[in-house]
Amino acid sequence: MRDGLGSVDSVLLVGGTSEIGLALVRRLAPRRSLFLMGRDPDAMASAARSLGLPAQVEIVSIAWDAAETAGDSGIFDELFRRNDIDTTVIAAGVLGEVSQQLDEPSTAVAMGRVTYLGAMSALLHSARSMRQQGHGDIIVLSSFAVVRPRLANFVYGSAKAGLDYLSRGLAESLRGSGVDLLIVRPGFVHTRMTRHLPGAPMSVQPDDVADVVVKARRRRQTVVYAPRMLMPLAVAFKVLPRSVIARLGN
Amino acid sequence: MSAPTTKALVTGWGGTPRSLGEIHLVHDEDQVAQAIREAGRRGVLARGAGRAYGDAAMNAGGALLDLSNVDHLRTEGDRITVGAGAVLNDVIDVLLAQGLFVPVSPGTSFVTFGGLIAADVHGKNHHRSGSWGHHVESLRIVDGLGIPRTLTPDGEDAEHFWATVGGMGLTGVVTELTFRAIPVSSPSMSVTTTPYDALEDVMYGLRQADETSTYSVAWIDSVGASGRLGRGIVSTGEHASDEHASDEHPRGSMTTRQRISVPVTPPLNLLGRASISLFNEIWMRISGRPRIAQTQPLRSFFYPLDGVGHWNRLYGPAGFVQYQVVVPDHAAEVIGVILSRLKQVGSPSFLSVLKRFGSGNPGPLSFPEPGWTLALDLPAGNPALGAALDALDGIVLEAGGRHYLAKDARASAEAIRRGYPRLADWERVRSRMDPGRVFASDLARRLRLGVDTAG
Repeated sequence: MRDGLGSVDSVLLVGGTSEIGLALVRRLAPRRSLFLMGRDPDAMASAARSLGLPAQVEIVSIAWDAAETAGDSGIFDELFRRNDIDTTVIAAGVLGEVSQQLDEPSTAVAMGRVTYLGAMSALLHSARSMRQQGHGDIIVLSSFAVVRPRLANFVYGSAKAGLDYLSRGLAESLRGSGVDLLIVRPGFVHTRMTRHLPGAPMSVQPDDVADVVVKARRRRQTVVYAPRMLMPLAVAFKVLPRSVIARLGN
Repeated sequence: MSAPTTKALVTGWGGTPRSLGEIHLVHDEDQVAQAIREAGRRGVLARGAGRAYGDAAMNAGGALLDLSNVDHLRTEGDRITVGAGAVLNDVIDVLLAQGLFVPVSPGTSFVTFGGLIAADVHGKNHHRSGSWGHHVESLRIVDGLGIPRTLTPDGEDAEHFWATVGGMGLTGVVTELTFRAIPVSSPSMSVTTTPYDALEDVMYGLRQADETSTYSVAWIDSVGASGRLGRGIVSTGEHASDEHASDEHPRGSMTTRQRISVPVTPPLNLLGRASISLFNEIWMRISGRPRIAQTQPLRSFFYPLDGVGHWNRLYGPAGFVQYQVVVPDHAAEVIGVILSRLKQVGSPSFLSVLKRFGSGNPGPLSFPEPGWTLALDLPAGNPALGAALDALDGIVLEAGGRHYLAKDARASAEAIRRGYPRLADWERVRSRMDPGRVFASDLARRLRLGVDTAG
């Protein structure tokens, strides 16, 4: 159970090798169990070991493929029937490359299957189970890319935008259920996923995102940008005309 | 017929954490038994007035039984039989009219009798009279199989009785209890207040009061502006004799009226360091004058905060946690350590209360044991608080102390297991009373009560 000061016993990380997700787990510091869902149990197990959680914390890797959602009901029902999960982090997603996605639309669809549909399935199944258990919180990793389409990542952004939209509606629907939902919109984060890309202004590390999330969770916010300074920028992007933004560089 | 149900998001008195339960309004023992037999996967718990500070009266995803209609009251001389859903405040009215009072009274009258048993509540007279368990002649309870039973402290089911007293509602649903009231000759108190400039002196004053006074309690300044951390005011009280009371406080005027109330939760904590510091200074000046044997209404002595409705809202949306522990006499210095550590992390307490405990009782989960008990209300929004309290837990447990479950919202399962060495005994009795583990609470889930060892 989450305690009176926000500490948790158990965390589920969907997308068990996500660097932002793992940084978040380290900050949430579950006292009893950590469940990791993803394609590669070995990679998840070794990633979890590197977190340095106390020895008594049980670490469980669950094989789950974001691109194959047909069996998700069974996987999630089984997990939640045996355990109370205090915090679920939805961190499944792949980026891909825009030029390739435009040349070979099938790669765009594959990305969308993971980043939107896979995350959607995990989110809705977790939400259903947490509603039944009557407590908990869900953290959804969205992206600053949802604010407006940029040439560098608008295909990926479209999947995150779908997930973000879904999460905002779900947050409303969960009001009064005992389950809180927090949407995180990170800007450029230095991870494996972005290693091949040129850095961007206001880029941050996974730990910085985790810090922002922990604070936002304590304040029971629904949407948070990481770094927080991206929030005014997001507002500007929404109100400025396209021609001005184009001149600022894409 | 099934009782009507509604889903509700509930919290403890501290406002943190929250969970969703399904409230069943039950009217009698049969409906309690039915709710237990029909319990779902997330179990059943009786919820009284919601005055436990943490998650003791919460059951996420499960059923919460509301017994507020099970509030009957029968008096035969000083023997009182009362429904578990009756509220102390209402019963006191009836008792005082007959020249009687409850043998043990907590710091608020807005609690149910079921709650008094579940937490084995103590009062300002613990050094003389013990806790509620000492005064109950019999309990009526519905166990985990839905079977009603009568338990007595020294009968065949004594083990079950004592597992229920302090058992946090996890052994069954108490529906009724019988206790002996104490005679009082007036609804007033004769109160003596003595201010002290240092913690050691406050403790000396309280130790003296063990011998001389029926009731004693100290208010402590936990902000300690100008190096006076731990200064405080010791109040001692006796039930006043009739002639003292009659002029000032005629009998009819005694019911607690909530004169003011906090209507909504403000967007931020109003009980921060500056406001508490200011309050403490004013309080020391106004209440800090020595007064001897002053007559005071009984309720303002026992329930000073009951006149302010929803005072817990003043802590803002983040809420607060109460830290209440007991340490044995030989570890009295731990009290000072707690105050100074919390001052270091900038976590002052608005309400800091220090009391003496006398002997405990056979309840394996009963909180009181001989020594000192300190209770602090701490704003939960301070990110440094968790680590500070974890460190203090170590010191308290090392000294042989423990936490009060009715107040706890954040101790670890290991800390509770260490503080209550007879927890395994309790779990053994509980598994007999509730073999299917129907009774559940968020507190029990968090602290693994009755989970690890029960078969």
